[in-house]
Amino acid sequence: MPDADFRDGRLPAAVEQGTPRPGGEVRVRIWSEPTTLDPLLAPDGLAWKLVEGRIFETLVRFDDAAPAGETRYAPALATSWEVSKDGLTYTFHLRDGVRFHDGAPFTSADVVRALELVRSGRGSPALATFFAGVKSFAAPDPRTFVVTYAAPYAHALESFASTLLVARGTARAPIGTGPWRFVRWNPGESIVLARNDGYWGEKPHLDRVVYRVVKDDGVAWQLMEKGELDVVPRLTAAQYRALAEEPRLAARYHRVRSFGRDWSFLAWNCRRKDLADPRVRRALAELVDLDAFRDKVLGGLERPATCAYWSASPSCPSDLAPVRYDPARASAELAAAGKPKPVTLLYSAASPYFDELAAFVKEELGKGGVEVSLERVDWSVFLERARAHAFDALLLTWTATSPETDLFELFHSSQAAGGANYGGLADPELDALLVKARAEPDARARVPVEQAISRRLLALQPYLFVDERPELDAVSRRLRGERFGLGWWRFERAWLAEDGK
Amino acid sequence: MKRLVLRRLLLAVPTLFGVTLVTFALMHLAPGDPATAGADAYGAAAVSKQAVELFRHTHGLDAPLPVQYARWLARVATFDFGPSLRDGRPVVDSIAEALPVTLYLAFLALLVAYALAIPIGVYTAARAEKLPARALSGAMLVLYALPSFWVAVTLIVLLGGGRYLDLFPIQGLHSENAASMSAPGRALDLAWHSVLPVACLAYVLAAALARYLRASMLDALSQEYVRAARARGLSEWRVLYRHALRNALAPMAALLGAVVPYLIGGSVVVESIFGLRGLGALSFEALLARDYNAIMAIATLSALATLAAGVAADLLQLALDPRARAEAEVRP
Repeated sequence: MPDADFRDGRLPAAVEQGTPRPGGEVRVRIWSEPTTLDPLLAPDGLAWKLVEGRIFETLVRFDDAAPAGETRYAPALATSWEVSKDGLTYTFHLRDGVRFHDGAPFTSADVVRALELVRSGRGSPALATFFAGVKSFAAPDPRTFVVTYAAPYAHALESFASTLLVARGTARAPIGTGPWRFVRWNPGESIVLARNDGYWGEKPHLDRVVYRVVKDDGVAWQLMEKGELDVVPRLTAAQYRALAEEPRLAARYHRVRSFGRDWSFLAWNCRRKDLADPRVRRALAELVDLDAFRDKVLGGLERPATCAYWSASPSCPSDLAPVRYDPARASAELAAAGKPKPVTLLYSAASPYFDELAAFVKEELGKGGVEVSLERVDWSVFLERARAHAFDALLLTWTATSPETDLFELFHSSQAAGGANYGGLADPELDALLVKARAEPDARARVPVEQAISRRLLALQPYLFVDERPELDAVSRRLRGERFGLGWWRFERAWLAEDGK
Repeated sequence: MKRLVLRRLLLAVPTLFGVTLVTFALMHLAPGDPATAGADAYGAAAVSKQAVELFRHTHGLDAPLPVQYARWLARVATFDFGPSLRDGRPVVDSIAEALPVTLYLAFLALLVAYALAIPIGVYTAARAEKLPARALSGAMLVLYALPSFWVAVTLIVLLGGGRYLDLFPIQGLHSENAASMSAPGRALDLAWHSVLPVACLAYVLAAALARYLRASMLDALSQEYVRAARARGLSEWRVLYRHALRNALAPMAALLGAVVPYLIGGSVVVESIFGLRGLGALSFEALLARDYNAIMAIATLSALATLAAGVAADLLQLALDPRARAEAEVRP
């Protein structure tokens, strides 16, 4: 009998072991068409997922072998690196003999070109944030790359592990250095990659990866019935449950539930007078029975979020006591501190998850005597309103692309004007801690500071942390050898077993 | 006749100008910001204020609106619609990719719709009192009212899914290996892929056109000349198709002017369900991402197509209706 589930991204041992069989192609559903395959150019999370670690590589990479919760960096296109004593200069030594898919050698000039594009503002705004503090990039010789900062920057290595080196080719026909090379883009239909036989590292077993654009969830299900897809990411919760109950499909697909770094939250507008008191925000949080939401509304697929850092990391102290559902205490507190006037809850129409969460919050706060009205808007309207602090409370999911988290953009008072500090939180003590964390390059030394930030956030209650959001995927039982790292489906060591094995 | 065409063309210039101005104003009045709107709406990555300002400056979005509009006009005068704010490609390239898909589907859908609507319209009008014709006419009304996403999903599950009949492909217009097929093989592959999406685009049009035609046929059949034709002993076929239909078709030609822009606009629903990259999907995505350059380019080109279809419909009507022809020649 097929097992029901891969839990938490660990694949069953049988899937990771065995003798690789070379050749074959794997067909992966993607839920929309990326705007470009150059993730430096556009803030497109999907493009990132498709090319990261496959077509394009980074100078250093997050070490998948690091113990849970700890971030370490491993060599990628740079084999080694040094940091100057003052923490301002990083020198990277590049790998020898690396060639682009078109045969051109990879040099430090390519690194400078890629990073200058990001820094210039012609590329993705999200990545430009990483390099705002850079004084200069330099390529003293073809194998050496040097970056100089104006002030020490704790997330320097993270920024290089997060920035793909896109230096050749175009956004529609990328040329990288990775284990997979771009073959063809059939507009609106599919994107095809093939094994790079000249890869400097271990070469993949599979011949090709075909990403098929299938926008409609129901149609993706039909294609699974037809056996036209091997990996189907982002099943709906209903599909994920149905997959276990459909013997025909369950015999062909594993279910994978994995937790990346997505967490949802409710942010309060701290600038609103009757929400300015942290005691009020805490009392409101205590009115919402999130366990009931997860179990009864969502069917128990999500995990509680308690902290703005990765829940497995030491930056979330184990003694951190999250807010618990306690309507009696909340009512007493609200009676003492002043019950807020009716609250408008803003959320984007991007996902049915927010519809359910918003309705639940409205009902729970209503039981506690706080009136909530819902405002469901288009995504770009949502962002504009959030930036302008034109809301009382909002719902959102943050996605982290790296295991490290810099909370500066989210909570520093300087980021309230036009930045991502939507709630307008302004707390001098927290500000000082955020600046301190950002300036500390040693990850171990940063932990106590980040723990202090976690504690301060719990006291201030700018957010009500809601869920860690899982990725719900279906994967063909023929696919073997795929390992879950920090990235998405990569097919680095994967192969396809013969039918019926 | 020449004067009429010339006048219509000259009138198109201020209309086009007006359309771009209104689109530009509406687009910028609507809330939303291209600097962040393109991000994956599932989860967001924090973007600093400095980065957003840099993006706005690089793309000239920090200039006053009249200046931005003037710059846009100046560029468009040289047929440069600028780069997409989402992916940096020239917007004309994306449109050139999507337009053939939309035109191909629109043309087929139009052909199928008229091919079905004309016999059905004539039949339901000629036998208006009989039960089968009334039933067919009622069926057209029901068909017209069915939501297209429901029809699309039902067709997919019944005819293209793996569970019931597996007759047609349900995604895209080509098989994965289409590039390696022979030319007739490719054409067959394309036709096979087109069946379900064209059916979804055509059924609403066919139902609407059949009902229009039935009404105008009923009108034509009550005219004196039809009775005269019958009295002269002409065959019923000749009366219906040569005499009545010819007059009933004139308003149908005018309808073509309204139908073409509707089809060119593409169908967001049909395109996204069948995974087709046409103008509908393109403009929907451009709107969501607040991709100003793409929105302006699509609006301008759609306006051009609409104006052209209007002129074409007028000319067709002139060809079909001698009275309109006479009128056009008399007017100064």
